[in-house]
Amino acid sequence: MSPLSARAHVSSAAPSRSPSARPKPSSRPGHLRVVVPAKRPHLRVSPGLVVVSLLMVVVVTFGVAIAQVFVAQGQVRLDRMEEELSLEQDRYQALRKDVAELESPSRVVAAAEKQGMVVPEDVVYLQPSTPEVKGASPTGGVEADTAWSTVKPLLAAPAP
Amino acid sequence: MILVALLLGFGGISLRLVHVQALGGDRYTDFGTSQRMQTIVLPGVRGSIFDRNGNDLAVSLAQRTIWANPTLIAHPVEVAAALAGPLRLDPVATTALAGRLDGRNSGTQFAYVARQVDDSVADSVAKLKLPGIAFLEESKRFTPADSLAHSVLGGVGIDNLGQSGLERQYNEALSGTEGQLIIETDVQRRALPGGEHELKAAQRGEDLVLTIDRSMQYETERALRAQIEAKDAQGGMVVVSRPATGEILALANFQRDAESGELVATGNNMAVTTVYEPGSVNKVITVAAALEEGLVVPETLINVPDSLQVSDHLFSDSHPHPTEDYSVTRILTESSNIGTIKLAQMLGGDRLDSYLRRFGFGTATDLDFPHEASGILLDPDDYSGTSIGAIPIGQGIAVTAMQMLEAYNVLANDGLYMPPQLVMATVDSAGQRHEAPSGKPRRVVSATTARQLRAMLANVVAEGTGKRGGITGYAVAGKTGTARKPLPQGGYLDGAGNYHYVANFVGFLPADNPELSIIVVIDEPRADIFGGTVAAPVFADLAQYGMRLLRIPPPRVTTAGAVDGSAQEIVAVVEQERVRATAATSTTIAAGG
Repeated sequence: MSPLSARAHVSSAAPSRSPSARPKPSSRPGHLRVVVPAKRPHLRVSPGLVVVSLLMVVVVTFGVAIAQVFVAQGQVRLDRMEEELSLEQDRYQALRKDVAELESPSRVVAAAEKQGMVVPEDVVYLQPSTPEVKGASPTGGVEADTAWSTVKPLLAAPAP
Repeated sequence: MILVALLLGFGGISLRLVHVQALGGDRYTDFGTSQRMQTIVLPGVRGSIFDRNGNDLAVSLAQRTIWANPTLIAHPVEVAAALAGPLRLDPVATTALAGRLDGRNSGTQFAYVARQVDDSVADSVAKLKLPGIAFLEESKRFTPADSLAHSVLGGVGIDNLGQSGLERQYNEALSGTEGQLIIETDVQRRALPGGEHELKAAQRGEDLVLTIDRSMQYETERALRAQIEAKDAQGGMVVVSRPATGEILALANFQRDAESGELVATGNNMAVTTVYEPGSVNKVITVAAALEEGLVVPETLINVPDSLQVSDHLFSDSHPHPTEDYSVTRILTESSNIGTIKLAQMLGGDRLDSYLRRFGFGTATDLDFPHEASGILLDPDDYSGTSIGAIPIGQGIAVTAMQMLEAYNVLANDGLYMPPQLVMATVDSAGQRHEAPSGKPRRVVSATTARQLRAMLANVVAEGTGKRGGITGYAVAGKTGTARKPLPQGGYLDGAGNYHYVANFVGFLPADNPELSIIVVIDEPRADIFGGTVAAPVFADLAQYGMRLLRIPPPRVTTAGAVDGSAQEIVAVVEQERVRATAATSTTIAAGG
């Protein structure tokens, strides 16, 4: 290092002084010396690390892309399922209406008449003649055996 | 030179960038958003209407509506012609459609082609792939049982707003709330994954559960229609109810079409909206008032001639008879006009009016049905000289069939007035059922008076004018009425010198512990005019059906099916079981012979 550069180095660290107050070289304190700057450490990047890093970036990017594809596929599937759900709900409602139409009294009566059934002129209440008959009450009234009606409630007829 | 050109080019691009990014940025942002963001309106589905057993009476289904963007249709005539087939349009309608599709005429970007069409029609139109024709979904109202209970349910317009009946009365509850779905979509209108997604769910309207029983309603309509046709009448109405709760089980109205003369299930719920002069069925109010006031007892004898001058009018009984002492029971049994007028004269106008109002006349019921009538009841201060003769026998007074049935329900219900009820419950969008509050009962007459009246009315059916209202196995209480019908221009005699009549019968059964009450009103029957022969048989039909439906066995059963306690009885008295038929889900087809 030249003296000039050493001076410049010192001046950057110490406060400036006027030229008249500057000590002569002979009277310079002995403890001052020129410091040779140490060599900066050289960053060495191995090619392998670069390749691995690039590979990782590619893999991560690819992974994100794949994940995006899966998400997109999932969304498409979700859309399709929502559409199917909506269609099925519409179908359910339509079928419910069809059932209600088929169950409507006018249609039931028309179907019954088609099979030759007629509205009775009067009602005949059928009763067993002896109290020993199953279901007969001790008071003489008749309690119908309606166990089967739990299986086919629509067939439950008024007792007796 | 090249450098200058490049500089100019870059300068131009830079200026454009500044213009796009800085000056017009908002506009382009909005434009981009509008391309990506899609707002889908989710219609609020209208609630269903069920009968008391959960059977569908009115349901809403999504249907496709066909619409057009006329600005995209270059050849409207050809497009209209192509649509005419699937839409079954006649030439006039096709021409009109072509006019609507012509963008030069309308200048609009939206025009309805056909609303709420069947799926088959919509599919046929879709297959045509016509330019400028598109579809949207709308809700459509269906009544699976056709016109059953039409006058009660009412109807909705094409925009799903209730127009009449319960659909109108409960429009707010039935109507759902529209929702909104905002999503970010790609160019093919598919939702972008991870894009914006904002959902405001549509709210389904509430369901209504009616007190109506579908099977009873069908039978009521069938019986009423048959009798109107058999008697060549102008129309009729029937209400069937449970006296103890005020629940209406069936309500039917038929009227002849003014132009075609055909009998139609009118949308007008006449039993609630139309008043009529009830005639002799009104006598029961006068008798109840006289009993309640302690003026008479059922056995009290009243001297009854066959005619009586009241002010300037000579009133007479339906048939000539010598002046006799009639018991109050006999007055009702034989439906004596003169006997009833004499009882009314004992009461006086004010007390008569007071009882008429206590029985519910002159005020609309708690049903609050659209266009419900209050009836016409004169103030006693406005009575003419003949009013005290006419009103007790049901002339000069106008009531709805519902009011008259409710008056009889008071007697069936031990003197308590129970407000009628058509809606049993509502079901909210979360499926929670909320029972409708039942009206508060109020006392009209004492239980003793009611019991006395029930016995007297049972006598009317057993021995008097209402024999045709009786049914095998049950004691029926009821009253006949045959009233002259006032003409629109006033008076009762038409230009040809003829009277027009309203025949009616009101009653309940079993007489000792009523479970079912029915009123039958037949308007202007021609083949026969009397309540006892025109209306009473319909009552009997429905009473018999109602007993089967409600599973109320007769108190005693005989081989002949009579309840006379004769030696023909082969079976002991069967304890009356009152099984509430709340689970009946289909039409009962009774075994008969």
